[in-house]
Parts: sequence; structure tokens; C-alpha cells
Amino acid sequence: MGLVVAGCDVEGDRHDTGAGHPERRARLEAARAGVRDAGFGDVEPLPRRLATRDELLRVHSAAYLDALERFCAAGGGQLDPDTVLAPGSWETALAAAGAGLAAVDALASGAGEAAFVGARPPGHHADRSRGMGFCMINNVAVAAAALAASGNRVLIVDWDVHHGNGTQDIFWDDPSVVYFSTHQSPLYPGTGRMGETGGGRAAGRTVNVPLPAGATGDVVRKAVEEVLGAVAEWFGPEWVLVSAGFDAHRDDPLADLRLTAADFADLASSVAALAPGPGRVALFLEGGYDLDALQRSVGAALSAVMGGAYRPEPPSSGGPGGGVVDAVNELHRRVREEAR
Amino acid sequence: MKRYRIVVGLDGSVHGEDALAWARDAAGRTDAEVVAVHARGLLERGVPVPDGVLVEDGDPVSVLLRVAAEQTADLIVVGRRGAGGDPDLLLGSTSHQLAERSPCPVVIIPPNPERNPS
Repeated sequence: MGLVVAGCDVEGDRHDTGAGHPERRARLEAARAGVRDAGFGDVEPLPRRLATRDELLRVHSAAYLDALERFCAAGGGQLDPDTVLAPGSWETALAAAGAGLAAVDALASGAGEAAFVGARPPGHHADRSRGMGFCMINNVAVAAAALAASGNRVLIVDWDVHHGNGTQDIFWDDPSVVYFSTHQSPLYPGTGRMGETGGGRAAGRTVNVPLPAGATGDVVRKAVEEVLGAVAEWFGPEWVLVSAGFDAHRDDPLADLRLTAADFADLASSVAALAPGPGRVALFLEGGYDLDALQRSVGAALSAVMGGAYRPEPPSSGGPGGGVVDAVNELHRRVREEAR
Repeated sequence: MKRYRIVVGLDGSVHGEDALAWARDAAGRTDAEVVAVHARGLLERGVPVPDGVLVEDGDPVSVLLRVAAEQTADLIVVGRRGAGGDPDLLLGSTSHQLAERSPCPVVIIPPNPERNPS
């Protein structure tokens, strides 16, 4: 059994964001180079598959999908001040969401121990009825909803430096999905405060760890080991999907956390260990805008998930945020008690 | 009696300035309070914002709705980029989305043709 690779389709990518935009096609080349550096350069990516309308309707409104398709067909433009769409963006977004679905299907049929979905545009800022923050379709949510629709409990771990407001919104009161996010705060998109813990029958199933600028890998590891460890034991996930942004890397131009490639390796191992067995974890590319840092971090994370030792940088430690982790842990202990 | 509170969305463009000018004029006549808000997006780190302007992280629609709720605003005022009448382009229109979602009235200031000759 090996690594399943989906997406990473540089040649088929028609989501042209224009000169100077950080969310650019070259990111997929960097991700593909990371796959190679981790030792999986000879793995053939899964065939391209477009997500169907029914698959998208599990997480997005029909009106939004129609408007998005028409907007691209009419030539594209600014979706919001950060998000630029081209005529080819719609089909590229369908392929990105489809890559996640194909990866999960392949794992379900025993094709590998873990999967990497090298997709763009990223997805975690897209909510039910709106795209924003470089995102059109919420790729990880589409895959999680497909798994949940067939009766699975799904854990989504989002270690992108920005809070995944869209994923949180989509699964806010859905008891079959846990959404756990570590992110810099304050920072775009302004959501993901500690007190946002899930609604309705899903109390305690949204977990936010808002970290101060300067936080290092040891703090994020602490959050995963202590907070997420307890949540996962309580929830019992059958699948683990990772919104794997690599913009918490210290070299990233869009944020101020201080992680290194080795930290992403450690996080990937810890998170993969929460899956009930092999073949139940998939990493979805989200952000990550320094191409060298992205390549090293993708490589280190994938190597770690597959039991390898590729760590091109030492881990980081000593940054602030430990107290936040303790506070989130305490808060969620109470929320779970009350939910019982 | 509570003073009226007007939340104005600024985006660093002349459309935001036009909206602020309209809101200040209206506030002067009604003894209302003006809260100017700038939504700081993903690409805007380190961009300077004038004194007295509230800066909040997020996309303009979410930020204006959030601030309007927190400030119990009576009115939201925004400029319009002037994307024209093409309904397909309304998806990306802050003013259109606000008009659909806001619980309080929204005033949309059209582009000033003298200031923005096409």
C-alpha cells in the first residue's frame, strides 16, 4: 500500500488569478515537487474527475453554484477584494472538489494508506452560499459530506494559518462532523474565536484554537495532542480529513506564525494516528504562499504520514500561545460535560 | 432617545470616500453617529488605514454585517463599484449582497460620474 495522490494537475489548471496574486498555479508545481521529495515522485495521480452537482449540493446552495458558474462563464472578475476568478475557474474548481472525492473513494477501496489532494483553488473559506478568501468550492467539506452521507463520522483538522470559516459554517450543527482548527488570531477572516463551539445537536463539535502571532510548532502540537486528542477520543472519528494549509510556516508572506517543515511532519503523524486505521486519512492542500516553504512542508508532512523521515528543517519551539491551548481544553471539557 | 448609528464601509477607494461623505452629511442633519469600518482582507497586511477608522479582519460583507450587529446600527452605507447592470457580475458585489442579507436598511451610493469619468 502506498500514498494516493489526487489533483496536482498543473497542466489542466485554468484558474488564472493574474500576475502577482499569491494563490497561483506555481503552488501546484511546488506541491508536486514536495510529493517527489517525500519519495512519491513515481506515484501516478488519480484520473481527473469533476464533482457532480449533487455532490456539491450537500454543502453549497443551488443559487450560489448557479451564480458562480454564470459569473465564470461571463468572463469572471473579482468575487471579493481577495478573490479573482477566470473563465476556466469553474471547471478547475469542479476538478479540485472532484480530486478530494476521488481520493476518498480510492482510500475506501483500499488503494493506499493515506492520500494527498493537491487542489486549487483552496476551499475552507467558502461557506454554503458564498466564496471568499481565494476559495470557491469547499473541497474538504464536499469530501466530508460525501463520507457523512454514507454514515461515517468525520474529523476535519484545519491547520491552515487562517480560520476555515466556511467549513465551520457548513458543519456548525452537524453532529456527524467535528471541525478542529488552529489559526492565527486576530487575522483574516476574523472568525474562529474560542467560544465558537458548535450549535444545536453538535455542541462541542466545533473546536477553535486561536493562536497569537509568533506561535511555534510546539504550541500547535500541544493543541493537537491535548485538545484534539480528548475531542477525538470522545467523538471516535472513522475518517480524518486535513485542511492542510502550509501558511503557518515562518517564511509565509501572509501571516506570522513560526512553524517549520518538521512541525508539519509532527502534526501530520499525530493527526494520522487519530484515524481508526490505515487508509482513513487524507490531506487537502489549502493555503501556503511561499513556494519553497510549501514544497518542503508538503514533502515533510507526506513523508511523516507514510512513516518516512524526510525533515528538511528542524522543528520550532518557544513561541507564545500555550495558555490559549489550556483555556480551550478547559472550555471544551465543560462543553462536553454539558452535552452529555 | 438613542442616537442613530450609521456604519459606513470603506475600501480605500473613492467609492468608500463618497459613501463616507454622504453618511457624514446625513448624520449632521439627524444628529447621528458615524462608524467607519475598513475590512482587512487576505492581501492587505500592513496597509495603513486613516485614524478613527475601525479595522476588522474579513471580507467586506461579513465584516459590515458583524460590525452592524455589534454596534446595533440603524443604517449601513456603502459605495458601489459600478460593475454595471450585468446580473452575472452581482455575485461579486458587496452592495448587492449586503442589500440581501442586512437586517437594517442599506444605502448604496452610486459612483460619482464627475469624479470617475469613464
